[in-house]
Amino acid sequence: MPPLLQIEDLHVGFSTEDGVVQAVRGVDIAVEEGDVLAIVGESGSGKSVTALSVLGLHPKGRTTISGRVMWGDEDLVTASDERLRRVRGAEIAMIFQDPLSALNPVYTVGRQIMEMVRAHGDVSKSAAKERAIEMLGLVGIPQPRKRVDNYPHEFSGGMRQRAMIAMALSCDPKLVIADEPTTALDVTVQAQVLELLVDVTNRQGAAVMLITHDLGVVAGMANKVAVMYAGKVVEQAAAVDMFDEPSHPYTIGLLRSLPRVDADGDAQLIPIGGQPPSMLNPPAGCAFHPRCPIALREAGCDTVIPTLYHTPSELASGEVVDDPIHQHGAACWRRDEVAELLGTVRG
Amino acid sequence: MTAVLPPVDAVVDAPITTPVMEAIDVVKDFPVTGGLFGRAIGQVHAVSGVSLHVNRSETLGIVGESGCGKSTFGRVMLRLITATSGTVKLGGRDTAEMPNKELRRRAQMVFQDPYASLNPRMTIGEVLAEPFLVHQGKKAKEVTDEVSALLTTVGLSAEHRSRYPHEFSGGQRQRIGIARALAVDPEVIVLDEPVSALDVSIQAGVVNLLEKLQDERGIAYLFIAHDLSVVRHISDRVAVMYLGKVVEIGTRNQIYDHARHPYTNALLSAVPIPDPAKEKSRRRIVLTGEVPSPIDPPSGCRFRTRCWKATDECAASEPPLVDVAGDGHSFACFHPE
Repeated sequence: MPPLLQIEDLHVGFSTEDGVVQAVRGVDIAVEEGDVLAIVGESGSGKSVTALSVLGLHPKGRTTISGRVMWGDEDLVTASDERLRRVRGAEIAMIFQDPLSALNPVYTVGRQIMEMVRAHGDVSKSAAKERAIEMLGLVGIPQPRKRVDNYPHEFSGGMRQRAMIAMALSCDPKLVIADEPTTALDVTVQAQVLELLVDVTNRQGAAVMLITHDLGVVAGMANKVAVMYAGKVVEQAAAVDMFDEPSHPYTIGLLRSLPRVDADGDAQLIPIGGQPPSMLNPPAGCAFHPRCPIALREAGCDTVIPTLYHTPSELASGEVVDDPIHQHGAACWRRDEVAELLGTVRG
Repeated sequence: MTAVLPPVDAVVDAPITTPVMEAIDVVKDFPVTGGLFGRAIGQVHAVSGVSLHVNRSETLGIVGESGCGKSTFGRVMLRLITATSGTVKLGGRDTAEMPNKELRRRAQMVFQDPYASLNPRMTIGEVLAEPFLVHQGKKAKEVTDEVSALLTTVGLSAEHRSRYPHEFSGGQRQRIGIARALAVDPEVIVLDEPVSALDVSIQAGVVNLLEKLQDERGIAYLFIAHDLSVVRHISDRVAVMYLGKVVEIGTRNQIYDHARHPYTNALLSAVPIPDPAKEKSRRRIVLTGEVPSPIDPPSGCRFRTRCWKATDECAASEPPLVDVAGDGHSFACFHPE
């Protein structure tokens, strides 16, 4: 079965006064039914830009996009505005980081959900309101019949994000893209909202593309993960495999620099040296090479762009697969030396 | 009638060093204004009687969720906000009787957003020279060596002196913020979410720098943050705040491995761990309800409205913050874990 969503060789550039920012530089990602796929990376890695490209949410005019975003048989990159409007919300829904700026402050929460429901179906006002109440109840908002007439400012941060999830799922989308959905929330609320997101999307049979910088969130929620650095996917794997055997020096660097609440505080944090590159002029070869502890000129790290390699790999179920989507890939010329580097994480 | 004397051991074990900084029953209320003439119609009880101390070469982490009063408390400690009541002591002396200049020389602050706290029209050299001009009455030309030394200390280079704040990345700006605080050679630095705006690969470098500076100079840190993982890493002792009060305080291991207050346990159970196997097998304590308004906090224990162990006793009276075992681990709960 073909994947639900397949992003192929996506490139996104933004024209600025200083030149073209090459935010995404050839990304391949596939989301299948039932997946919770996490895209992890730090600021400027291109993870959000990738997600926004799926729904054509970039400013026209100064954005250049190439590659394909296959949604079933159609390419969303070349789809008409009219078609994209139909897809947004009804087939692919989006949840943003800051619900307060994503909600309109002068309309009630209920009205905004109703608007979404009615935009995508021939639904009466009263039926749309019932749907809004049902959805608010589903995401755990107490007294939904009463709260449906509240304004966004009358909701707490966690409740607003619940309302956003309710809205996103109100038209039964097949895919939900959540861009840092809990970054603005307190940790106890974050736990509730993430649990809810996975639970509700599961129940409705929607796949999730989760954009996050938090490896803890990835571990708890995702079954697959793509690690991005400087506009490219540098490692892609089943989530369990990535934590078990991180295979790109950048992924290893992230794990080594991360303080852990379950670790003895005396463990040493090892930062990744240097600074993230400017995407106006990203480094040649592997973009991580200036910061990589095992980069080697002879291996071609600073001249040739490495690709995600693929070898048949065994899934947790014991099944052996030989297609790229299900493999553990790392774009690194020095993958034989990575194991050694990994030893330093495990200590 | 015989007087009860404390056991001899307790007297011997009593700390003989004066804490670098100490808060005694610090309270901060903000008026809520409203009505026709903008009169005060209520009080936000941001900090409600916090007592704690930090020693030389020690990091005291202060954790809590938004609105718990941790940032207000940090600002009150440095008199950036005046306390409603209570005492803040610096080296045993009441800061209320200390001139501003002395207080600022001995206690410094590092803010979350270093960009907002650096003047965009001043070069980094000028920013870092200022503390010397103010506190030592020197001229800008006389302190170039000091400024270069500061930049090197925080892992930047002396050539960065002539650059402006916008030319630096977030991590570098935070290093500049730290350098500025170091310029006056303070005894204590209050750090308010100093690394939460930074990416993890950059954050680790700043955390390591702070630890190194403390080892070299014996500075005390009051490290305010919401990220429990970073706090565990950097702190010697940790205070957990909820709705304006410290609910539990103890050494790092007491708090993270043997937490007694239900809120601390709920908080710790919610932190995601980057390990799928551990994440799947964990029991998460899900708190119901919302944090009550600090304008009208609940009677008795402030956490009782969301606590699964709350009884009538919790509503009737407020549990005191006590060190039951005498090992420095205090918690305010009638039904500890």
